[in-house]
Amino acid sequence: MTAILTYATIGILLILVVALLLREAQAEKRVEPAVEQEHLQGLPDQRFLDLSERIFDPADYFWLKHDLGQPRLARALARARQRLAIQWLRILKASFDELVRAPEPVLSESPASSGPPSWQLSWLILRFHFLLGYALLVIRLFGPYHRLVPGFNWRRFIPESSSRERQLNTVNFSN
Amino acid sequence: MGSGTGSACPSSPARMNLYSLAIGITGSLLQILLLWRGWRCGLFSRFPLFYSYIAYVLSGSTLAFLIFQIHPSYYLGFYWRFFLVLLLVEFGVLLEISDHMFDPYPAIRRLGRFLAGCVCGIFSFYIVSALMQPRSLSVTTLDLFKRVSITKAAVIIVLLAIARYYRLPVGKNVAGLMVGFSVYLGINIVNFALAETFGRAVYGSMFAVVGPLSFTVCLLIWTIKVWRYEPVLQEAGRVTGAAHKVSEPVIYQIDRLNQTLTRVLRR
Repeated sequence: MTAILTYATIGILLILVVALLLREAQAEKRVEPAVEQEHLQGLPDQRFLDLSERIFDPADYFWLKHDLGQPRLARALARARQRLAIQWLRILKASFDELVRAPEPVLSESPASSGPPSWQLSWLILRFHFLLGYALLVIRLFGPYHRLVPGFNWRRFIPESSSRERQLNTVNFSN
Repeated sequence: MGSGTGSACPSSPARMNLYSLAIGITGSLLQILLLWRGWRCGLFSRFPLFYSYIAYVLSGSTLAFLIFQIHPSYYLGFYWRFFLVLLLVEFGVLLEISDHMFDPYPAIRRLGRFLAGCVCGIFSFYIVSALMQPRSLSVTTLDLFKRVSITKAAVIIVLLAIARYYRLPVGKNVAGLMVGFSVYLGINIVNFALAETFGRAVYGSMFAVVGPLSFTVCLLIWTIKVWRYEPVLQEAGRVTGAAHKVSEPVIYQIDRLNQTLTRVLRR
């Protein structure tokens, strides 16, 4: 009897979910949420892409913390940079989504068959979403200066030249 | 469809057979109407797999009816073979729905196919495992059909989730095809589960009515929603998005954004 109830629930849920999703999809007028409005004028330019170098660069944080001896200010900066980093990633995602859902031009010069292999494009899209989700999670949990890819520093047998370099690799500002 | 199993009912076989006949005739008429309308409006070239599927169902069920009248002993064997092929053809129709759903969007069209394929690949383990349990042939067959229906339901949900995620409008034709399919699959999942649990003696007569009835409801929805061709482009518009502003192929732009993100991650 439990099995029947389970399958009855699956059947009913299927119809309800499809009806709900289709209702929303048919009512869709391509209204963009506020975060995307900022950056839907086109694809992100090189200046926007290079901005990440500044946002994720912990040099200012260390300057405040170590050179000026202002740990509170450094933490405030890190928090502001965290918000900036999340916003930057969201805008990057919005641009990416806009690019992915770009309609095919009516008079396409190249035939559809001349495009890249199906799996390659799909893989790039899925890879981007996976990396972005991971980056957002790490930044939310540990801040913008935490190393996102494990460095495997424990594998190095020769010690690094300075403690500052080591700090640059793995810093958690929340500590 | 399935009028042969209806004779298992001990209570009112005549009435059940009458229902089955009425449902069968209504279904056939709707299929003929769909095919006629598709031919008149030139929809065959737009939905080739869908109309092939309808033609296959119509010819198969007509042949099954004739076999039932002439050689009833061959009926069940023919019917299950016909039904097995039908289950596979329905996957093709789902792929066609996916292509039409994301037709104006080349990147998402490929993603839709890719993810639909992934769902089928993942669920194939779930489907095949139904064949590995030591049970009677009828229970195994019903379980197999139920699992195949659940797989198709999962494909539909994934396709709609992609449309929802990218906030894409879904055209009237595709929406109708999906609603019809969902009603048919949703009822069939429950119908197969009930038949598997209670067996032919208790549930046989209802099984023979509910299955064809769900398909007739599905055909009715399809007939209404695919009455005339309505492309999704009318609603979405072709000049939205960023692609028209850039000349670089989409894959290179996607790759560039991927590299930027990778650079951030590897800093």
